[in-house]
Amino acid sequence: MSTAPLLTEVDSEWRTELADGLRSIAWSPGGRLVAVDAAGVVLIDRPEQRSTPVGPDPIAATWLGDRRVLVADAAIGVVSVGGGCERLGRVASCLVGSGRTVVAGCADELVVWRVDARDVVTVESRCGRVRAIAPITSTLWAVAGADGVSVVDVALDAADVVVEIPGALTVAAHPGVDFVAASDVSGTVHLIPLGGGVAGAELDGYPDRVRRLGWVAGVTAQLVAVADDELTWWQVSEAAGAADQPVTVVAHESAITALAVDASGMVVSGDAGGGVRLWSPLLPDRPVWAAELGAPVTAVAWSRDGDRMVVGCGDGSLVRFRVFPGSIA
Amino acid sequence: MSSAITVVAGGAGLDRLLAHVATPGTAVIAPRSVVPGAFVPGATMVAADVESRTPGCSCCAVRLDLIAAVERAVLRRERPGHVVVAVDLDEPAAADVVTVVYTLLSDPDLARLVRLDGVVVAVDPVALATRRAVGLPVLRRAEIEALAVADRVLVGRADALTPHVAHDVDALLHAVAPYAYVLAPARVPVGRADLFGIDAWHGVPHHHQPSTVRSSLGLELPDTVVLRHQGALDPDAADLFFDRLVTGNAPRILRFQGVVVGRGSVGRTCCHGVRSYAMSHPAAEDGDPGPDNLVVVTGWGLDVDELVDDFREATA
Repeated sequence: MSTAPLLTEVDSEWRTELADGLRSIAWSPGGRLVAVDAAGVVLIDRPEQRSTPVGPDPIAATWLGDRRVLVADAAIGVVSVGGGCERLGRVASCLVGSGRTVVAGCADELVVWRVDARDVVTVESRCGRVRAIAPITSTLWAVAGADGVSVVDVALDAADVVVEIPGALTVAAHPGVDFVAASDVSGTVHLIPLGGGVAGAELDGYPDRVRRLGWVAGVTAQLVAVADDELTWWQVSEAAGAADQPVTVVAHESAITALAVDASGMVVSGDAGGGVRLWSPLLPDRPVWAAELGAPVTAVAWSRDGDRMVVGCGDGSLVRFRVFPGSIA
Repeated sequence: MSSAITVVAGGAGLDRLLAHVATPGTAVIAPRSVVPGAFVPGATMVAADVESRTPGCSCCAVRLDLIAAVERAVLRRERPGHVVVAVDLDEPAAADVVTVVYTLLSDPDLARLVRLDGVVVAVDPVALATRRAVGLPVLRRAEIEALAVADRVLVGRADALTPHVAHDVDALLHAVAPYAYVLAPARVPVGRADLFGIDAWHGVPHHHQPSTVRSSLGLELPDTVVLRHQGALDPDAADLFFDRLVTGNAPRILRFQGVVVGRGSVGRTCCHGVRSYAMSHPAAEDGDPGPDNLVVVTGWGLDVDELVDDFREATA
């Protein structure tokens, strides 16, 4: 029986070069990998499995179940890849999958695909022009839009929460956390409670907008926010709300350009100089692993089980790592 | 190394101009109102998404869609040497050139990736002359503001005008576009080097106004103030001048640019800004020597006397 190492270990499993800069990486529930580059080439599972270009300007790719990939292209709309290539229309500003459901933000609507349904469903965002979306469950989604933030049940076409926040920009949600976090263009991060009887909070002091957020679920949840080259970790509890002061770490030597949190709370961040850092929730003030890939990091993604992470760069480099989280750090 | 970025604004015919400038190594970002594919293959399409850093404030409005589009255009295996951002002056929701320039200058993510090279505005003089002849406003506010910050004005179809009308259009453009060279390809060939690689937002600003220009020509126009001084400035007083310039006039400023020399400093300092954004850095010394200190400010309803007095305090 193998035991977890004391300190986190990371092995590079493979490295490949795509035709152009990486735009998006995603994992399916069953462990399948998709990556799309700026030329519209889609890589599935292994370096040698690549498609012909599916669109001229892809912005995001994700899995619908384990057999179908949806790619949002800024020029031609959403494209389905798998059993041929099918244009589904609807130009989307964002596209995110939760495994069995994929939601795209199209103007002020959410377009919903479900793995067990033939028809595509369209629901109102309740917060204006959609800028970002994050799954809470397969049917409950947090949405950041021009008018604010909403939590929408896409199956029932009903909103649980609608909060007016001028300039809402990005959103982060986690099924194990009782808050949705959203940032706005002024540099404030808003904590929005999902349950009643708990007050929200505004986390400010950021010099500019926070473009990346992530939740680490636990007994006490932590919100990870990116500001330039710094990571800030806020402890958040249902009883006490957010801590007065976060733990702030100068995490990189250049601006952080990518962030992802896995199910166990490990955080990977990448920067404009090609630096990659791995952070453990047990030790938030220093990375447990680091690497230099030599080109701006443009996309990172964790597998659902947290065993693997994939990092993509602006020069087309794509690297898959096997991660063994340490029991100490 | 950052890529140079040029804003190209125009109305009808913008797609043809973009197809002309979209050479290999040049990335084009264009609104959906500009016909894609046939004329501008490979362009990154955008739909204007404007948000203010302070809710309701016009002096800090940014184009969120442009930030994402520029990142997509630049973060490529073969990084483009030049990026062109097209602004359709006929599309009301996205015709604000000053907001585009403000976004490119002030956004920290874009500052790492691109450097503003210049603003090119294409005009159809036949349309201007026709509007004037039938009593319509010759220029819309979006066109006036685009010209007010332009570095190059491309006059198409100049050969279709009579000499008298051409002279009037020329005078109009020189009054409205204080920083620009006015180029008419029908009269004198215009090459790529006349439009790109001009580095117009750094160093001594080109300008062709007299000391002050008030609103004229029957149009409400921005004011342009030209401030000059020979000899070094008190550095603290110079800082105070620029602070008061921006804080007191942010919603009105369309563009300011200049070079100043501080007492005790080596070389000149270049400064430029749009609305609430201002930046300074050491000036390259291979440019036009000119006066020691030159600051040109263009904006709506500027208190010219106050600006002149404030600048005079810095020279004392």
